[in-house]
Amino acid sequence: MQELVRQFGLDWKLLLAQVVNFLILLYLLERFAYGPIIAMLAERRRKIEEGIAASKNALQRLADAEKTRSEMILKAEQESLGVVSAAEDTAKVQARAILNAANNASEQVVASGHRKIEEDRLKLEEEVNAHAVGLIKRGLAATIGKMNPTERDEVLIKDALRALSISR
Amino acid sequence: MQLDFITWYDAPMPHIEIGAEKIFTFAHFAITNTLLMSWAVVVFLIVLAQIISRRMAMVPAGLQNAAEAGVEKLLGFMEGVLHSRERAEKYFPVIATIFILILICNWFGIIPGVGSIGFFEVQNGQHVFVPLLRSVASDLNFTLALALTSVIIVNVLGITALGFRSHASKFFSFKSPISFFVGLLELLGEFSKMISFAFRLFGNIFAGEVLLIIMGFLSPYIIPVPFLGLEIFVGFIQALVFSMLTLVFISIAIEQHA
Repeated sequence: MQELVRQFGLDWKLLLAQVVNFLILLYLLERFAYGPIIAMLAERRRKIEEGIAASKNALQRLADAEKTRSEMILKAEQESLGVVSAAEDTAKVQARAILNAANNASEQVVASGHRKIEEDRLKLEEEVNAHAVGLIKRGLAATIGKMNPTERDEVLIKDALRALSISR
Repeated sequence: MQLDFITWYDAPMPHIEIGAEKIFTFAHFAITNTLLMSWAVVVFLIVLAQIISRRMAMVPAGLQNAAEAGVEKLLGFMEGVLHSRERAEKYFPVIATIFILILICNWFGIIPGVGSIGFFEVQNGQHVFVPLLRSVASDLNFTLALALTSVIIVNVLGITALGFRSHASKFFSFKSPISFFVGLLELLGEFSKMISFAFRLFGNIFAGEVLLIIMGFLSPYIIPVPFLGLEIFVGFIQALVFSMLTLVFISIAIEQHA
């Protein structure tokens, strides 16, 4: 056994030194390498998970916003259609009222025109009659003195008749 | 002035020593080339850890990126074995340190100059070449120390997880003669684990070192290159095997046994 130990160069002091070497390395690597690296990996994993969660949240919020927007657009479209329909109804009513008012006004204007025409006609007739009477008078005055009574009567009658036909 | 060149065919036959060579003695403590190498590896890893952790950024780059990728990969692997992220993070430092230490020790062992830069000393009237640095895992003290530490850690974690009585009942059961015998086998298994851990790593790395020495002696140029690649691969596999076996033993130790 001793020969075996000597051949392999086994020495408990060297063995202990190697154990101590290993333990020192284990401690220092744990302190300066494994600890920081594992902490960094955990931190990065946490940030990635947070990022994924935030991304999912943002996507959900985007979907919600899209849904709300669609609903609002739909509602606005429905409301606008209602408004347009109501406006059309109101416009129809107002157009009808305006039309009625215009019809009434035109009828009034026409009636007024008719009345004016009638008044003018009557006035003109009076003026014509007056003028005719004047002409007859002047004619009579001019002709009465030169004609015999029979002839004069005939002339007077013809003039009167002609005056009447002119005035008509 | 005449210069004497030692050509490769003039080189002396390499001296292969199973045990690590003593470089100097400090306070009755023999400092070997493998111990020097292990100190160099430990210093290198601590400096590397400092460089990585000094400027940690939320958006990783360079070394931090590589370190995080390695940690994430190993954690994922451990999570698969332990079925829990929390457990994986809890036992990660032990497994990762074993893996990284063995890996870097193995890879440092094939750096040019390691095993070939040294001095001659007279042993039994013969000039023997003593390398200043040597692959750490080619020293049984290192592999046995790591195996011992691994087995102790496995049992300590078992006790922490299950309690002393429950854990000890794996080895000392008086319910029946069969369970008593099984317990003794379990106890023996713990020592076997230690020996298999130590000799598997030692055997592979020492054999690789011998292979490289022989290939370098027979043909110093080009021919050893594929063997260097093989040793890089073997170094990685051995680190993985050691750390994964420790992980599996931990997962068995922390589970409640029937």
